[in-house]
Amino acid sequence: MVPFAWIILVSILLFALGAIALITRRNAVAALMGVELMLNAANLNFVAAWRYYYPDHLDAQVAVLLVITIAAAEAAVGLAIILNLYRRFGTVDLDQIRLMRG
Amino acid sequence: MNIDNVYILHTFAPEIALVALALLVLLVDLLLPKGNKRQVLAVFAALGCLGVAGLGAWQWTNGAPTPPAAVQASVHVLAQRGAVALEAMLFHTSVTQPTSTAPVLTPDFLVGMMQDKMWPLKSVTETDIRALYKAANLTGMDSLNTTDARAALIAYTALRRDIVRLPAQKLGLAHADEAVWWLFANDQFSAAFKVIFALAAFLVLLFSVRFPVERYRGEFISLLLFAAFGLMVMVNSLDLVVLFLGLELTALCVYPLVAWHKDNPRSAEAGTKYLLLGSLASACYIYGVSLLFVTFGSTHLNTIAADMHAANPMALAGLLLIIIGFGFKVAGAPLHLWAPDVYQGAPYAVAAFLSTASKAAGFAVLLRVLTIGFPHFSEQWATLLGVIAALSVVVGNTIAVHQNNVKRLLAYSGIAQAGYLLIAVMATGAAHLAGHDPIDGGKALVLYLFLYTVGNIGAFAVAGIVAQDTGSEEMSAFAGLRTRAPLLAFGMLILLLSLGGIPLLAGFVGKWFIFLSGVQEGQYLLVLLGASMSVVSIYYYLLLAKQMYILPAKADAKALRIGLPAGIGLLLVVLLTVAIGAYPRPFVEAAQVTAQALLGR
Amino acid sequence: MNIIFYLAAAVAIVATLLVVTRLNAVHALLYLIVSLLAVAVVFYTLGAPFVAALEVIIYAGAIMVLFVFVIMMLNLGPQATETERGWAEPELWFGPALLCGVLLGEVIYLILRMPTGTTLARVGTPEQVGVALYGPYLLGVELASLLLLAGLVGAYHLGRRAPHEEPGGGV
Repeated sequence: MVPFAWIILVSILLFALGAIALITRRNAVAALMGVELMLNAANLNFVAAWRYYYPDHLDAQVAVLLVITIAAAEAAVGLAIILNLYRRFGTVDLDQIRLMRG
Repeated sequence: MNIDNVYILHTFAPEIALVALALLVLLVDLLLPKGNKRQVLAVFAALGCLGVAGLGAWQWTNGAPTPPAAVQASVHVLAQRGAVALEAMLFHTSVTQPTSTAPVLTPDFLVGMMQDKMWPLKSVTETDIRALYKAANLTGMDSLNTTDARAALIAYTALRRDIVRLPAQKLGLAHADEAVWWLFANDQFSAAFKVIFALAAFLVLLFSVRFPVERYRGEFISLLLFAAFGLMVMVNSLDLVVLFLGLELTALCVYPLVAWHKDNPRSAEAGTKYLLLGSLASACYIYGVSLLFVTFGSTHLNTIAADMHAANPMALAGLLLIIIGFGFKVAGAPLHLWAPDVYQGAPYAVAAFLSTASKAAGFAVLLRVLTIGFPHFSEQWATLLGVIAALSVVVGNTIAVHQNNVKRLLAYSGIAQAGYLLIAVMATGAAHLAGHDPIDGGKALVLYLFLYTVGNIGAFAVAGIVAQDTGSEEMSAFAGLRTRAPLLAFGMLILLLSLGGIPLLAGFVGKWFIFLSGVQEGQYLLVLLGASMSVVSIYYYLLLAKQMYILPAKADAKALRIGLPAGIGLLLVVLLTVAIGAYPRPFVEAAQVTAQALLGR
Repeated sequence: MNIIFYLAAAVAIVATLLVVTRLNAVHALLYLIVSLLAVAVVFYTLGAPFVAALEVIIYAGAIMVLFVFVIMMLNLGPQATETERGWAEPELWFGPALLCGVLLGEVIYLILRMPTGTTLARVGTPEQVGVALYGPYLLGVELASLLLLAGLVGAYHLGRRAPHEEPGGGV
């Protein structure tokens, strides 16, 4: 089998890239994509740990299921909020939306 | 109805009532004709929340319910298996230590072994062993209460590390009623916080009658109730994945609540900011949990605590990510940047809820996760929290001085309050390190969270009423409030002085116990910083008081109407603030009992 | 099996990198779908076919369709026609299509060399996961349902037009 470290490396890369997308993207929709990537990296950890170390702990797959559910709900609510933002401002560019200091 | 369902109903009475209330509000809202009559709905829901708080208080006084027979039976089996393993291990040690005689499995003998450093499992405490022993040999299942059972399970999970790693399903916990016992704490600590959240929802709903939430009152109320429900799940769960469900349930309710005002672009901006940063925090949290699963094969706090022996780098990384997630939730510096903007854009009722109940849940969960799951990492997390606390106190108080917008002022003051509260959490870690009793820190935390929740909701409510009347969120809107609404001004004065920590008011009592817990653990510098910064905070609270009492009202200012529900809520808040300050003893004792349920050994 | 994993993981990372760097949101979204599909293949190689299927159906299917919808709605401005024309440009679909081709090749390979027996099905079958889900985690499922309800109410409020907004105006 593939060494476990490789899988963790992939997962960490996915997480880091997702975080970078979330922080640096100016487009709010693209920033929300970063969240999906980060949650997905967590899923990869759960499945890999289940497979390599704890094959009888199905808690991992349950956790993955719940995380996927949450990701779906979060995407729906998040996109609704971004749509709402677009209606107020006519743009989803986060750099142009600065009514408040900070 | 069978006995197990009764047990579930008993265990989750406040939660079930809250969800039922939320669904009822949604239904009534669908059936009612459109119109302003819906303000009645808010009052109705507020009264329902009061009932939920009553249920929580009833749970708190009665303590944890006895689990059903099926659970007790499986615990009994587990405990016996644990005892068998224990004996095998003892036999092994007696072989390697020829001087000792045949092992007699008495608690005193086991404790003696622990003190001789022969005990292979450092994380199993004396109480655990006594409980395990009691559960396995001495008593039948009749007298086995939840605390003993849980302690037995901790011991068992510790034992099974050396036998075989078993997940929850293999432990025979296959039914829902057993899951209740396995995944949720159901102790007085969570019951106390259920009361706090229900009270916060009650106050926020009472005040929300006053604030324009347009025609969508039903959805607003039900989302607020769902958010409170999510907070209850958070403080009650022992499993980090279930905790994540509660965290996200709250977050998904609060994101739309922040963006509620459709005619105010600031609200939409605040909602987006909170959405993106909040999702970042939750994603960090769940990634940390997944790293813990990689290390321990479980996301259950008891199993994590039992399996942890040395500082494992991956577990440390996971813990760090979890602390980042909660640090965001409680708005501790440097993770506070979202708070002022989000509070400013959000409706007043939502900002009040966010800055109190949501923050309180963050602290409660932080305390539970760190002290139950990661006592072995006390040194690391206590240091980290100390740094965050110092930063929050300094940043919050110094920036608050320059604020003109009342919401931003309250936001920065909330960041400073988070700093004081972190001192209390840190003190529990330091106490654990030094081998002291960690209860003082927990007691201070619970007490301060209660009085802060009540007082800060009141302050937000007054700010909201004034802003709605004058159409301005600036401090100058408060000018001459003494003549326009003398009672309101007096109430606000008391709340501000309490937040600033003036003696004879609630805030002073809370700060006193927090600083005391810090001093007891030798954190003199941190406490000195907190105390001196709290003097700075009195300055900016008095700036607001000066507007109300010294500066004249604008020429065209009229008398200000408060409305009955908000008036009742304010009266309650002020009375509680004065009562805690004047006669703190019953509140301190209640906080002591609550902290004891979590931290007591 | 190893080479399949390395290839799928490489595809996932390259696609994710492109999600971060592509300026156009539609480009980024296409690469995000590729990344999710690649992670699904990784799940399959790890022996979790159920999770892999869910990943494709829910993530790459449902959630991404939502994203596509929103991006399309946001583009409904004066530049809509230009965006329409942009769809025909090969630079838009070539990269994702190439990476998807790699994944497709992997899946075909997996199907061809799949043994007649079900060696993978010993652990992590949908049935076992279901038993765990409705056993110890039953209350977690209940919580998830409440979470979806709360999300529904919130999204409904935000998605609804405010009374003063003109029908057909804006989005």
